[in-house]
Amino acid sequence: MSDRLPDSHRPLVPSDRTRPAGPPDYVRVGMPSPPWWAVVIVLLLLAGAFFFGPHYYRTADYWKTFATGRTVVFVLSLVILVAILRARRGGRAFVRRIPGLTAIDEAVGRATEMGRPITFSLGLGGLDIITLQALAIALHVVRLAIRFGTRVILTTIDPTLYAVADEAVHEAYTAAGRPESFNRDDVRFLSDRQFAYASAMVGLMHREQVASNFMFGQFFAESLILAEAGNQVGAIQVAGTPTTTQIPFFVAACDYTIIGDEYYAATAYLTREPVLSGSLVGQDRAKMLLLAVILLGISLVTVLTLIGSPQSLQWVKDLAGLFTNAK
Amino acid sequence: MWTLTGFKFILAIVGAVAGAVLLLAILHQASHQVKRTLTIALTFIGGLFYFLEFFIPPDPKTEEAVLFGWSLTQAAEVVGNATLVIGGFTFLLGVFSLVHIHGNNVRRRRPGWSYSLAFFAAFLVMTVFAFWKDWQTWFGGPAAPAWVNDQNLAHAAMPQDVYTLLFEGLVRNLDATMFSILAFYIVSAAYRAFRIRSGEAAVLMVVALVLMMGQVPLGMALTNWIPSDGPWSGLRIESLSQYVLTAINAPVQRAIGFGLGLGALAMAMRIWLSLERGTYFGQEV
Repeated sequence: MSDRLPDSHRPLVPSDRTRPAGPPDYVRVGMPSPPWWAVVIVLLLLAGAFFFGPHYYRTADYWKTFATGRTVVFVLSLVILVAILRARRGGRAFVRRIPGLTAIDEAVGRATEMGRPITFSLGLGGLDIITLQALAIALHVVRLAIRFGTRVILTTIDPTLYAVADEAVHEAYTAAGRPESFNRDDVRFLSDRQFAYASAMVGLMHREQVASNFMFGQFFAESLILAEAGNQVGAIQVAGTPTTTQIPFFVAACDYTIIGDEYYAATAYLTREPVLSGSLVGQDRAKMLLLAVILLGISLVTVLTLIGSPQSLQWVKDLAGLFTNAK
Repeated sequence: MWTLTGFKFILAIVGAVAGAVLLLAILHQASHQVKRTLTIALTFIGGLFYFLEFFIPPDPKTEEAVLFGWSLTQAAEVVGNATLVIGGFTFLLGVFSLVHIHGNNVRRRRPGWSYSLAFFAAFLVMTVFAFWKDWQTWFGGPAAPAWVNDQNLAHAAMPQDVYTLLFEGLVRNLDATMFSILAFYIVSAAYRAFRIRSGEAAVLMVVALVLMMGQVPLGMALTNWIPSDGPWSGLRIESLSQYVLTAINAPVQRAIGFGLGLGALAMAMRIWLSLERGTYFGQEV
């Protein structure tokens, strides 16, 4: 059995015959039941709080400022949720080609050919939405690297995230049928200080002479230090961050950079999983909705400016005021 | 909030630890189905709490979100503290990771193992002096000597003790050293980025030049001859620079912000409703 062979004798690209037994990648075991019950609970609680709660809930003036912002978030959430539920019933969604994400396979392949490791930095974030997305991308890289027998060194700045990442990577090795290949030292907590983390990463990249370097998550002033260190060792670099101030540094120093909401589209793009693809469709619809509101607002304000705001159109000004004063 | 002292305080701590151990033992023995259901339920309840705290309008007088007489805003503080406690425990896991990796480096004499010795020395010295400095405050007992905890008010700005020397004199300066490397890296990265190899790179270069010139007196002096009022004032370099920043850069940043916000919202909902689980733990949970 190829699974029992030492790493040096294991084929780099496993054929179907040598592929370890067990579930293929990204097949979900135990899909959760539809979350309609969750939506019902939430709506009942909100309705109960409104009708049986304190009197000030029902004051119109109070709701003018509070409700608009919350309503926008609520409507956008519903749009996304409906798209997810529809996608789970079937159908396919088109996802345009994102070069930065396509390059992930190329970067893993390059490390495999060169026989050198890969580093993956989860940035400076803790256990939050941004870093969880980075971890999802990291696990895709790890699963890919496991198939080719390539080493991935995952680093974090947050000890809570370290515990989750360590368990998730271990699980990825177990699911691939190679638990013995998991090296606990390859998931590392480096430091909880920004520049101590950066210097540790720079040292790591130079010592290991990494072939590929991934940087996904929240980055700040250390982004360029990490990217230039990767450049110095000649690593192919793919980066993605929602921290817009750091995107120019990554664009300047990395081979591929994932910009804006491409960051959150990564898992849908890489896995083509229905729930994630549906979520992507929902995000696009929500964006269209926002765009429509913006265009409507621009048109109304322009028309009012041109015709001089007559009293009969006061309601238009009030409507615009709702969005201006939203909390 | 509860305030416990003396025996009750110790009993509460022992009870909490015993309860946590019992819970972990039960979870360890539970079937995957039970674990999965529990994970989904806890995630949903945790998310629901913050969802309601955000959506329920706060009382105009107290600024607190109240649900059936229960202040969610006050409860959020307790939940936040509980999260901090859990985070504190995981810090030990981080320390374990560091000790394990550097211990292996020293034991196996891997290349650069002397740096791992430096880690152990730094870790030990900082831990000893940090605890020694505040030992009396936390646990009582004799006061630390002045070279360990300098309480002389004349030195309030910069205490003359070992901990301050290590932290303010060493750690902060090492941080500043790493930060200053950025200045050199910006030059090398900018050189590569601004090499004109395509039409897009040329546009990038020209726009960057306008922005840089718009920020410095020398650049402004170049177009100082254009009147600051009138139809041609927009051609002054600082006006062009402002135009790029406010009419091109800012809307693009906001558009990216919209996309990121919606992406984060969708991701948060997937995690809250346990639709994202297979991404992290395909089988176990």
